[in-house]
Amino acid sequence: MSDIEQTPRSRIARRVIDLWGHERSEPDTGLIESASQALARIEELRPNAAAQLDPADEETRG
Amino acid sequence: MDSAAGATRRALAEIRRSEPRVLAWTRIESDLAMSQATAIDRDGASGPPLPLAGLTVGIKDIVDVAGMPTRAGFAPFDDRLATEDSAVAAGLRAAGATIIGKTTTTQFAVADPTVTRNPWNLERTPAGSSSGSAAAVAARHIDLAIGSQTAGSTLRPAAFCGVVGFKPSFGWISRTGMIPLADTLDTVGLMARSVADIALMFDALADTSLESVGSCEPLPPARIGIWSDAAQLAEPEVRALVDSALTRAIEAGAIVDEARPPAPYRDLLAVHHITMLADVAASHEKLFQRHPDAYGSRVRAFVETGMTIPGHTYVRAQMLRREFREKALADWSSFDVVALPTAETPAPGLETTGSPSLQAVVTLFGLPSISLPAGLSPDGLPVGLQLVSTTMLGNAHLLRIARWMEGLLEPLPSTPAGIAD
Repeated sequence: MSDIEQTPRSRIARRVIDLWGHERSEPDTGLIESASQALARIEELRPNAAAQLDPADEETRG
Repeated sequence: MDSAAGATRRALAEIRRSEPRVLAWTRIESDLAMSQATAIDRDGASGPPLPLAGLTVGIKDIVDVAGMPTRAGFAPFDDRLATEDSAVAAGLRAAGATIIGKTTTTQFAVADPTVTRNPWNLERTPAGSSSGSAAAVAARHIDLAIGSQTAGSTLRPAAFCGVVGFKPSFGWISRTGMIPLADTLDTVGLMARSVADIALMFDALADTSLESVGSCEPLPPARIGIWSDAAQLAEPEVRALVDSALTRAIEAGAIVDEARPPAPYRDLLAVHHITMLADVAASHEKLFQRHPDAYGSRVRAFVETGMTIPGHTYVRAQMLRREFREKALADWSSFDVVALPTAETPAPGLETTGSPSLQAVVTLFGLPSISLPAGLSPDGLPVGLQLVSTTMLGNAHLLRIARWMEGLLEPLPSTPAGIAD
């Protein structure tokens, strides 16, 4: 894996590069970092609702 | 009240005096303004007085005014002449305000700083994105100004520049003729040097069959909530001035108590962040693809990053947004308003427009909020007290309480220190 794929912001950074073919957003704002953290937090706060109905889901069983 | 022509002449004289230092305007229409003012005085002599007659106004350069370009800080729009008034410009004209011209904005109302300086200290930012509107009101160029708020673009400039900034309920004032940034967040913002003038503007622009401020008589609040985990993000010098303002409210009879936060503040900011990123990308994707090199670095980052937000994450963010707002409205129902600092710091340097963190969550919820000048920091920079309505329909109630609170606060010096000579 490249360095960028191993960093915490890898998901969004990878998508930016895939989408735009470069990493132009990076130098100035730290926006990829903050967006990655926000994305992760949203996923923690609101897990997939249907998965919670799955009897095989250990987190929601019992 | 002044004649419209007299007020306009004085506005233009103030602009000539300090605009070379403040740089708040993208366009000044002196002749058009004088013609409009003369017509207002003539009509006023033969008919009922108009509510905004004798008041001058500047319009943020993302909002159309017929006959003037709407540039939004974006070079490809340099010749984009508006052929019709926006709903806001038409409403202000109909109410008798004299439109002086267009005020600076960060590009597309995001965060790339403008050339505008803070009248209290010319080496500090006036904030953004409504940079010129706040600076021009603070510098006494105009009485009223139109801004917009997607995160904190009206309240933060108002706080940094020592003026009153008001964000009405989401959707309460028409955005027709305003360049969009983020569809579920963009709100027209109002600025002035007093709550009374804000109330006049609100009644001129909002649907008064739904809610009217009328004479905006001061209303003492029974209970004020404090949003503590938000307030703790602010610097001590800011918190001291906000605490002092709330102490005055207690001495005047208000009960001040903790307001339960709807969620940890960082979670609320995460929801705003994802919402704004995706909304900005939705508005700007096509234009960005046509003119990528004309975009400022911060707007560009928003569009590029926003395009990567997965749809399912955006939907989850909107579910959380509704859940947190409903929780806030339920938990805050025993308060008349909730108070917090408008911004974490006084105005920082010119390389930034400051942090929107303490304004953004209220914008996310769509609730009315107002920033009042609460005093000057030890460095002589204004600090804002933010009051938030606890109901979606609370514009008039909030403005009346803000007027009461305004009466408890020491007025700032009439001329900002940066242009005092």
